[in-house]
Amino acid sequence: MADRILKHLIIALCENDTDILSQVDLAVVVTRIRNFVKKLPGVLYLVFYINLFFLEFALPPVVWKIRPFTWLNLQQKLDYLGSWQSSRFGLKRTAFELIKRTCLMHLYSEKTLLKHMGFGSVLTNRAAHSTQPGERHVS
Amino acid sequence: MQAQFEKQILNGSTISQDIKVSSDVVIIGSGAGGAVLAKELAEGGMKVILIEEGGYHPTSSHTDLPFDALSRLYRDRGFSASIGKPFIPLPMGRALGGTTVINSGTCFRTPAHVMQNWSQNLGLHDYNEAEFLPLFERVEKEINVTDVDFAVMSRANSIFHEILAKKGTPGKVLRRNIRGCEGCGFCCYGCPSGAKQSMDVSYLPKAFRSGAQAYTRCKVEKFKVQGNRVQGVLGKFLNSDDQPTGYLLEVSAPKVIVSAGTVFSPRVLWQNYVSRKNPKLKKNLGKNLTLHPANKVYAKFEEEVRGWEGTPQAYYLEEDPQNEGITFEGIFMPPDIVALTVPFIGQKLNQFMRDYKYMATFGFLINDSGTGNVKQLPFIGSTVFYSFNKQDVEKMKKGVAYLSRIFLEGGASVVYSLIHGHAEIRSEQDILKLENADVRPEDAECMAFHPLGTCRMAATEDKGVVGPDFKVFGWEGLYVCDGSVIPSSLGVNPQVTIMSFATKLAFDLIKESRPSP
Repeated sequence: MADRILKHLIIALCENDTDILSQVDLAVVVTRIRNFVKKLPGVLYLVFYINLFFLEFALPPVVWKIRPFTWLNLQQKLDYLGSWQSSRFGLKRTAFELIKRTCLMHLYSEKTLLKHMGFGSVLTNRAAHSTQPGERHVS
Repeated sequence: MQAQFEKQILNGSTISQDIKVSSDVVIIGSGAGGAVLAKELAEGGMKVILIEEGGYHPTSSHTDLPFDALSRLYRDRGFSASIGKPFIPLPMGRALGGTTVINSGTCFRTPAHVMQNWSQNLGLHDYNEAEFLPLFERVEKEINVTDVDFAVMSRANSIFHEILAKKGTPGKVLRRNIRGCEGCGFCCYGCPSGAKQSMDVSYLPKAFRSGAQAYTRCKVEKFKVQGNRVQGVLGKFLNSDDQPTGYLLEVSAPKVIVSAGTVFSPRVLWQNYVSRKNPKLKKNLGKNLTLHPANKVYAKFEEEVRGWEGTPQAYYLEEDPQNEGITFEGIFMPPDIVALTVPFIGQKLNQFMRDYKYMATFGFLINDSGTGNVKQLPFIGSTVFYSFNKQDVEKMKKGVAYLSRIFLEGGASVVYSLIHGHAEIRSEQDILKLENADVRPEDAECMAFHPLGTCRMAATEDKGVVGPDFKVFGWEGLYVCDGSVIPSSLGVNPQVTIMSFATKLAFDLIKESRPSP
């Protein structure tokens, strides 16, 4: 269930942009997110999943939608996520940001996507500047 | 190939028996406080044991993506935050070398006016510029504090410099602890070349060569206590998943120095009920927390900036009278991390990411006026509570408005801010709208750095947790020395201040009146 919500969420966050999504295997991204969240401190782990299920199932009067998030069409999903993103309630925005950031961070750390977007030097520069084991600059 | 000094580092996750050792001093934590103490005390002839909760990550291991380095080197995988209005991400390191492994390397001496305040308000008369001059010089020599070379500066910084220079009000290059920096731009994710003189490549190797020994992946739980005298510590070794392995470390030492950082040093003291023996400590332990809330703007230019290439924090603008309490400093996040802070979803998000190579960013720190505290919550542990006050929100607006003006005047087509309701700034009208807006604390999405003050130093126990000799009031053999003893917000990056404090304590402990610069 969580995997499905996360997948729909990532697609919606990118507005189903095939140029971006075709560069990644969403199943892999979702698995990486699950593994990452599993290793967060217990409270953050709980908050993440509570927020995720709240995003999916919350109904009026809490939020204005009558179907679970994953049942909405793309435009409805975007409007719905937009309402979280621009909510007057700071707590609601923070709850959304936790999930959004986790998803986007994992999406944009996919190496094929980074290369595709023109950020390939991030992948190569770090290794290129690496010293071999030793004490090159150790004073 | 293992360097000789690395033999002194024992990885707790691979230890499969209980260990009992004794030393002259045991230090809990290996960041800017603990590492300096370890080196100075070991070179002074004392037997030193260092205990670190994180692992040892040698320079050669820093080849992964910045995103992956978050999981390796940051506490809570980079998701630590303070609770309040707003929630503020508060990145902290968790590795041998502490937060110095993941900081930007920026070095400032303690501002003189801050030290004057300590003297006037807290009775710290020995903490003045003249007394600290040899300490600053010693620290700066050890970590090779140097001006950043324009040749290795991120284009995001030099664009800002060019705009200011045209206006006739240039800023300055920052001073950083670097040796042979090639400007690869990954300072905050473990320096891959070893150029940044973080504790793991500067002070700690010297400490180990002088006989100090470190136990990594070991969490200190208890002090060994007799009466009001601390005589050592008990720790649990942790496996690679941070679970106890079941094996224990017992260190007997007449001096215990807690250098676990501003958020975790109070925890070590609470866990050992130090305030039961001296109830007056309750008044200040975990209180008086100050942070440097920080914000930034993104500005889109026509040229390809590629700001992640080159030193991201290389240039700054000293506070001017109009921006009182705000220090502007360069900043740039690598593309695999920046998605964390993009204030959009949908096509706007996609466009932002596609445009990121054309963007310059610049940030600022606020010398905060609010305070917070650290509490020990059941099942959660050390938790930071901090909220903005109105004054800080105003500074946040001022900082964003100032940077937006600079960038728009410099030719940026759009400036993106992280203030809710003001994400896109395209004209002077948008800036005025922001300046006149009633921004609430929870609307200012920001980060915070440099937590200080939770075991504040003061001349008397009604105002602090430790005295000017770093000793916890009412206790013998128990010291605290890290950011938590710094009595107030500095307004600048604090690593040199913390290292100078540690040098002072080390010299006091080995009975040397003054270090030779």
